[in-house]
Amino acid sequence: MKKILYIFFGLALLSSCTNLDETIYSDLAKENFFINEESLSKYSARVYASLQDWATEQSYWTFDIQISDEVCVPHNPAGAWEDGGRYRQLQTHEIPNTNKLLLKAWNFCFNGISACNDVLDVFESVKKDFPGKDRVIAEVKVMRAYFYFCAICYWKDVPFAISKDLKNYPEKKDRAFVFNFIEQELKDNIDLLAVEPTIEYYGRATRAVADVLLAKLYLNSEWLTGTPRWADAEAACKDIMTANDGSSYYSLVDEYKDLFKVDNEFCPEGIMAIPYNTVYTTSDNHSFIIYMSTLPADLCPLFGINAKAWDGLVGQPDFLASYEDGDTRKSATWLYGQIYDKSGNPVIIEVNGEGVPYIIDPEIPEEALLGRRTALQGARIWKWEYQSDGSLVGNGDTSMDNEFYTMRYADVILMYLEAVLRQGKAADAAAMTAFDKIRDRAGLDHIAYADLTLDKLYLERSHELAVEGWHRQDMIRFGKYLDAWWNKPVKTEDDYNLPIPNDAIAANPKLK
Amino acid sequence: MKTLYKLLTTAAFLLAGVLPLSAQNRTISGTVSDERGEPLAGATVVAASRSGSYAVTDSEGVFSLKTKAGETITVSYLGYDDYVFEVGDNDSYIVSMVPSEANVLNESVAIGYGTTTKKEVTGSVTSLKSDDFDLGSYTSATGMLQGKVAGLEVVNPNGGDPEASFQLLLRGTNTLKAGQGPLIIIDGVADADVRNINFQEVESVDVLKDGSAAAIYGTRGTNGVVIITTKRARTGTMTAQYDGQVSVQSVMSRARPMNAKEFEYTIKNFAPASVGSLYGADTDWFKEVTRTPVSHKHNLAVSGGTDKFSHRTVINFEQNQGLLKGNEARKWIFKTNVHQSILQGWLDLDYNLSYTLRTASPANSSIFRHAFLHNPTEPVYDPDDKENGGYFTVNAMDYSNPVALLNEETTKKKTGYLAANFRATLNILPVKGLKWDNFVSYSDEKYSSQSFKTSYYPGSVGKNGVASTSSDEYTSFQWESTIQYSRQFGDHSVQAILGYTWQQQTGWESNMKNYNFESDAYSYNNIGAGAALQEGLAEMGTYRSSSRYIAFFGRAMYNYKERYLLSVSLRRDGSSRFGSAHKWGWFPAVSAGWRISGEPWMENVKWIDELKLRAGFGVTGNQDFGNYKSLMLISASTNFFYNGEWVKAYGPSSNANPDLAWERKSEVNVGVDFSFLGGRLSGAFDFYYRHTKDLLYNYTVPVPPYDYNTIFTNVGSLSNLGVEFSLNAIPVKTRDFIWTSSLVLAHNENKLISFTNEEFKSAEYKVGKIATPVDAYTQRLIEGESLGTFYAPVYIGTGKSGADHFEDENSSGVVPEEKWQKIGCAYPDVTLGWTNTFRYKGLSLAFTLRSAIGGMVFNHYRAEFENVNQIGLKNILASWLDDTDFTGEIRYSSKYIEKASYLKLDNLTLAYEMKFKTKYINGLKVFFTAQNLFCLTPYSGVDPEVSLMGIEPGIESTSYYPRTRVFTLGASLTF
Repeated sequence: MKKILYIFFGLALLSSCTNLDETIYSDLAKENFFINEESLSKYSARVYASLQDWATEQSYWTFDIQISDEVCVPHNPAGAWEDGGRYRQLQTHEIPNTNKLLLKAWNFCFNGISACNDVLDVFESVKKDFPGKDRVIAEVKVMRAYFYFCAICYWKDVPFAISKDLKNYPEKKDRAFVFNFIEQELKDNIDLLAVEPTIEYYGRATRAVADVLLAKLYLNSEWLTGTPRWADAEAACKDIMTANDGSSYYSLVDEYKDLFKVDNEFCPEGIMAIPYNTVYTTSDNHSFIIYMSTLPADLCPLFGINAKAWDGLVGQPDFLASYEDGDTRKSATWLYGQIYDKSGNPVIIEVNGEGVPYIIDPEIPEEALLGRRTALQGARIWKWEYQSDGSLVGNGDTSMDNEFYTMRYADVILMYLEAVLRQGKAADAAAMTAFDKIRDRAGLDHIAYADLTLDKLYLERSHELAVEGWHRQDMIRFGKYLDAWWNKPVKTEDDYNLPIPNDAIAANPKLK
Repeated sequence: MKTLYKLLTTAAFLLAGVLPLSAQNRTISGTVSDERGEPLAGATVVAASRSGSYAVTDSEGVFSLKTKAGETITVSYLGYDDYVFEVGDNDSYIVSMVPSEANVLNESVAIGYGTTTKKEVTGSVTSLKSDDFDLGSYTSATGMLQGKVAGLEVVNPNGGDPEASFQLLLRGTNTLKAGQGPLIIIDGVADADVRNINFQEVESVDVLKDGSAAAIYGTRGTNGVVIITTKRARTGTMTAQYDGQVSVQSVMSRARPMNAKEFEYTIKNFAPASVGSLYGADTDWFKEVTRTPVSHKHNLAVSGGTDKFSHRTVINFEQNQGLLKGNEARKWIFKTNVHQSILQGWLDLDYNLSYTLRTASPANSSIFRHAFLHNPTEPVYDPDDKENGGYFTVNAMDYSNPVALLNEETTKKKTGYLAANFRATLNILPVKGLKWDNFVSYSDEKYSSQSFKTSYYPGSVGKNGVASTSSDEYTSFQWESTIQYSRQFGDHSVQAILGYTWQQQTGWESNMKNYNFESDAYSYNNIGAGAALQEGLAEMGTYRSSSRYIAFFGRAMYNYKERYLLSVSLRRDGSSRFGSAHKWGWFPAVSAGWRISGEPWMENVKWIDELKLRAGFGVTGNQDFGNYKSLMLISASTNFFYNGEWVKAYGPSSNANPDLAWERKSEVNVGVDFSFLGGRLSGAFDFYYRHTKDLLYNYTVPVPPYDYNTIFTNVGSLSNLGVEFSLNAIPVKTRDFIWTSSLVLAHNENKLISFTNEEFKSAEYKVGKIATPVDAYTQRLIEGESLGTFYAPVYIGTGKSGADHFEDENSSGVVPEEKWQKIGCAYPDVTLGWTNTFRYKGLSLAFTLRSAIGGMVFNHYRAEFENVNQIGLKNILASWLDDTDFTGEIRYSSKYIEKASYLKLDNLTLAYEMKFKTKYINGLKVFFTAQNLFCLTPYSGVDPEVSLMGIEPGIESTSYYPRTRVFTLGASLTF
């Protein structure tokens, strides 16, 4: 017995004398994490977490609203927002491949794609079956298709990878190839997705999300691949409009502002929501802080915001001028004209030592891009209601609470009308009723289908969906994107393609 | 203080007194004197057979000792060679001591796990004793090495920051991303923090430079090994020494922005669009945030004892003020070392206990950047602006009132470092020269910091005060066991060691952050009172990690007649940080020496005292990087709204690399040691070639397929080739006057051999990114070229339009990156250090000059701020007014890459030393030192000596701490 003990202790001593295993304390090892079905679905949530990068300070969304004719960033009265000219380059469409904002837009797409590939690989390698697993996999594939769609709208060729193959870096594939992949992927998975938008599927890929993506894909097919697919677009929209036994699970809200208010969760018009939250999405690459980018610091107290906002992003004058008179969506989207305080009194601002009424003029001279605009020039974005409870603080340290609906039913209606109009077909009566409601809630007269033209539809889309991140592709599709606008010259079709960021090429030489 | 001294003395003697004394049969006496015949008081006289008999000379240098015939007696005195004699028939002896410097060859040299003599060392080792260092004021002991070791660059990139640490770079950059600092060993404790000792206590520093010397430290030896030995317990009379000093600092150099007049003139005449930025005041922001710092340091050391029991105890206090108002660091050290010999010489015990307490109000060095770029026409205060606490405020990103930044944030740091170690050496007396040594060391560093930003702190206005605290604890446990054998067999001398070492380091970090306080009066003292906690916006975190390091090693040294020397070592090293298949590595070394001067045929060449050829080869590694890099870890990053509630979303923490392996550096070193003319001229010459393969670097990888855009992996290789030369001369030496001069000189050539492999094919990486508005990568990593190579458009002049023009520019004035040219390299061609000491009796004058020749530096301030387009919101460099023709946009070019050569007067010291024969005071030394007196350089920026660490060397930071001159008055009193 004694001998055995000696040997035992001897061996124990010897092995601990040479033991170099790492002990992990504050993270989880892979084998400790994937233990059950819950952990797998929690892991798939990283796909949606990467979607939260959509509306961060320098994001795909802020890129889209700046490169279209919606928003501009001239120097502010203090002379800030020069930053090496990166904002100006977006305005003039002279974007070098080293532009940081370009890289951020790229990262949104490809971080998302990579997260999807990783989740799919994990689902394959961790052999655990559970009910609904196929649906989770289908969701992830549809989200990957979404990120690819965002990518091909900006870049002519993109790296293509559908699994986490670390040895072979992705090859470059052209738009037509990726277009076909997205289409096939959506078609293959759409039937596996949830049809009814219950709370369980809120903020996740449902059948309607796949349909919106298909509709967007087909509508833009002409400039993306050279082949128009209007009928397919119509069918995809129709599927959303009739999925609930001939009618839609979605409906238009009565008040336009309700779509963007602070408590806009579970809005019946929303198809794809990115939920943001002051507490839960307050971290880098996840928070929605447009208030910091657009508001001047002196207006923050008016909104109950305890922050020194940066006073940068303002509406482009021509976009503001394009609204019809009486369109309430203009003042619901943009902050301009006389500013009033909470009690409704006009606010006074001090200019050169004198008090003048705080009246924001949407007009900005073109020289302001290189010079400076004044404090009273440039409409501010306030489409998403600013929460006034004092929880927006500091240097953009906290996220706004509003959900960002990237897909909504009004867009489906307008897409449907566009698809039938372009085919010269008659419009569905239910769609026209919905269109009338869109006009009604904007405070505008109805437009009869017979009077509807592509130009009218373009303006309708522009104003209904202003600064929601779809405008660039609308401009291209309606033939407006190559025109000149505020500080942007006429361009050729090469302008549909953005350069692949330098950093991405450095990481993967196959992208050269 | 006197009471304390008495107390310690009494305690020590009482302890010594209880030790057994053996019978004596004779009493001898004698007089001990120095080289000038002056009696030496306090010299120790010890009998060799561990009989316990010893004596100490009195003020007349006289001793008497009970002993027996045939006994070997050793007389020792600090700074002198031991004098050894055998007891013969005489009862009276006259001992004349010789100062140590006359015989440097027998000086001991630490070589890692043992010592050898300068004569016998075969690797490239620089050994410095306390006398070799300049007097003055240092924030860290490593600062004393500046300009003293050939091939060791010691740079302080943080100027006058009282917490500044020095960066050490030995023989060029040998890694890309792993740590670059040498392994620091303090009194046997590996990987020790030099901030926990005080510079006055350094007894010696040994720098193991080449691979053959450092290989005994295996994976941690690549960047060299600095072995610091602090003053230890020693046999002798009780002595106490007090060192005190007071220093003041003044600004030596800084970037000068325009003053209010210049600012207004420039805007009105050159940038009228910015007239809105004229606010009418005249503020010198630099003056608003700085002061004249006064610092003082005190050190009291008491030591003494017998050969059976001796001790040394040190009490140290320092208070260092920084140039920035409120910036201050304090340090208290209590340290005691006890040496005991028991069991009739069988067992030697050595105990160390030290506690270091460092507190600081750290500097936010970005305040200097803000003070530079802040508009001088803005007033400091605006009493009407209640919302901003009465500070004048212009709202813009990255633009804050420097005085508000300074006043509205309070930060306190505290580090308590407890170190205890114990060495037990079993002398196996029957086998002469054999011993078993065990060393156990434990250290525990507790770090805590508290910070509070008031409700008026720029950038967090609206948060109603932000409090954060952190509290970290790092422990290290080290056990080392070695069997050592050392013996002389006639002409053959052998020294061998076999050992095992085990070290575990653990870290625990925790932090809390809260805001939205009812009152600023809470400061950071009631962190739970912030309402952000209830709102779910407070932060809390802890992190724990550990790493383990294990090694088996052996070394054998042999010499024949001290003429032919050989050393062989092998180490098997393991570190937990590597991938599972790569945890262990072999690190061999071999070196040999030939002491030509020891040959019989050299005996007649009287002018040569020493001439030795050395050659060595050794392999070392590097494991100085973070834990867990080889493992796939999963952590929660953010939250996702799932089924009506927020849940954590999990994902990989980083790109894992299961193949993570050693960086391996092989080095060949050939050298010559020489000493001529009776030690009047001595020195060393070394040539080395170091080659590092499997370099660790954060390679950019594409997303997808990876989750993150970099991976830490082994790919490339690089080399450093160089020569080092050091020369010590005594040009003049008379009875009263001595001039000693020592020169070190080094040249190193770095070359990135490869940077690619099958997977990572991009042969060119851009580094040294300068943020907007410059927005350019200043350096490139190119195979076949040195690290730190600047590439830029070549500036040819400023055109009539005010824009800069470049070679190969296109129609819009831009040079495409592929046409940029190589401008130069950040590393200097030659570095030099030259120390001179003139001593006349007790009076001495010393100065140290240091120089770097060649090398380039990127003038960041000039690129960003010598540009009139930047004026308005921000201030610009006053030097723009020297050439107002340039009115174009900022375009990165060779214009901003300047020559970095310099000559600096690091130290000028005047000292006076007196010896007394009074009952209480034995010596007094007073000195006055001026440090950083001047810098001669063609560079137009702040300081051409910028950080050379990392793969982006030679770029001046804009958030620097200004350089200061330091004037110190010090005194040293021996009792």
